[in-house]
Amino acid sequence: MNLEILSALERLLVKDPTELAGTLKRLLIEQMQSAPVTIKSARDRFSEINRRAKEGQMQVIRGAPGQETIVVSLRDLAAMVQAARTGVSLADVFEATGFKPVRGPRLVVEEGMREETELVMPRSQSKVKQYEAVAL
Amino acid sequence: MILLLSTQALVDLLTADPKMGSWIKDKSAQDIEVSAVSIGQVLQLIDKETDAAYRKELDDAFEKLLLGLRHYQRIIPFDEKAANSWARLMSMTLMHDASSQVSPETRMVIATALTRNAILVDASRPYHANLPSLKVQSP
Repeated sequence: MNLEILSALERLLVKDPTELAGTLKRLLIEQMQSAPVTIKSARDRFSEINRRAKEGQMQVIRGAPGQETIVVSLRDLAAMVQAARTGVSLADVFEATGFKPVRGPRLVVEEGMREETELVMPRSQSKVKQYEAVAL
Repeated sequence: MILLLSTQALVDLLTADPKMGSWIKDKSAQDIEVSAVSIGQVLQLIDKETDAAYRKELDDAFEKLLLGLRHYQRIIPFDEKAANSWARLMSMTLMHDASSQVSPETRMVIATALTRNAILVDASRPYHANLPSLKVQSP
């Protein structure tokens, strides 16, 4: 699922419910990677459109205003409904970015106060050396 | 409600810690924040990993994790207000466990949580008792 679409759905606010279909159509066309196709083209290329929908790329099929159809996978539809209802969950975001936790030894963040955090410059240090330190 | 992940919580999320995994499941993307300081700490930790294959795996996964957080602008810079709070925290004795104090970097993350009135997502630590204004949630 396209992360842009999910987050846009979360922010999708329309005062008049009759505007929702039009707003949604504009949003989908803006965010989709391919232009709407005709019914004939969709019929000729249905396997490809179906495969792309399964991979998370929805497809708008042209029609009279309000009569357009969308090919979308059930999984993406569920994510969209969830996003509109309760906001995008972090799990949806990770699904969209392909993040999967790495299984391996637990990493532990080092704690403790260390002497090198003291912000004291030696008196003998020249300005030139200070600049060098900043440049590093 | 803002939930700011401690650096260890962020690392645990990255490395499939079961507690962190189940805690994060129902959280909204809008509620979670991560300090930019934590990102530096995690990158440093990954860099220290000696197993090259594991390091690469961690690096790739962390980039994907950050991609989502960046998209939602959930990465919080260390700003002037946080710096003021950090200076006060640096003068305090804050114990991470029985033998070691909280590091300056972790104090920066705590300062960020305090100034944003965020809930710090962190395992229970002795220093929490010293900071009554700090709200903490343990995964």
